[in-house]
Amino acid sequence: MVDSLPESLDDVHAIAESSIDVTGASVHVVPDDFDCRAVRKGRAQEWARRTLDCHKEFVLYLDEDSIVESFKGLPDADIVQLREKPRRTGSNLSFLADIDRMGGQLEQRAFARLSIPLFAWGGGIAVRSEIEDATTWDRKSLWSRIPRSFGQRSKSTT
Amino acid sequence: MIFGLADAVCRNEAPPSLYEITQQCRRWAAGNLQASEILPFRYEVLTRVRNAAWALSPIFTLIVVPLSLLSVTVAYGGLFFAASMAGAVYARLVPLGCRLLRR
Repeated sequence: MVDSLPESLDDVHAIAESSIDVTGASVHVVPDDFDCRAVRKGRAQEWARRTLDCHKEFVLYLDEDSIVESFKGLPDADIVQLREKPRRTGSNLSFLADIDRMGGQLEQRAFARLSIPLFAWGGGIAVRSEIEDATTWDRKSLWSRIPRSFGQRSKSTT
Repeated sequence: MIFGLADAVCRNEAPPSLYEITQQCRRWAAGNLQASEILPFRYEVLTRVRNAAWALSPIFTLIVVPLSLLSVTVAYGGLFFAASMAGAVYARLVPLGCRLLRR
């Protein structure tokens, strides 16, 4: 993920639940005793929001498997959704199902057209810092049997 | 609050199996159902349609791909056509609804 970031994003932090080595990013491990209402990725993001000093206008959140293509800045908005496209992994069937789930991106194109977006994809989303601090990530979220994963956080001035 | 859509594209790994994608859709749909209580009614309709579309995405793949590969003849052609048309209309509901609900 870090290799795909443009040079303008030069303050990159990886938020992990266990110690890892990420070239080009400052790695932070969420302490086990950190407690908040959010779980999993939301918990990691909330810990990062509280702990890491951010003096940038936007915080851009990317999943660890998100590869950024053609990044040319962000539009003037408070919450900016990056477009999602699937990459094929081990299964052609799940790849096709993921394409079908995205519905040719029609729904995502409507992200900025509704007063309340129907769906926000957390694998690539930028939030204005002051909005993030006002709303926080400290919300109850669903527990699920997904593998323990980590979100990655990069700060942008674009 | 102003929402924006960037031109930048993120390529993200698809879930590794249909089981995983089913679990992902289940998780997202459950979260949406929880949050739907705070949405206006007109949004609730859209989210329910979208949740159904998510739920059908693995099933759709399991049905359509083998049929396409095997060139299976459909026994009830008229019924299949009607179901396909209903599916096409259904698939357009979310973007149509989004257009109607534009600010």
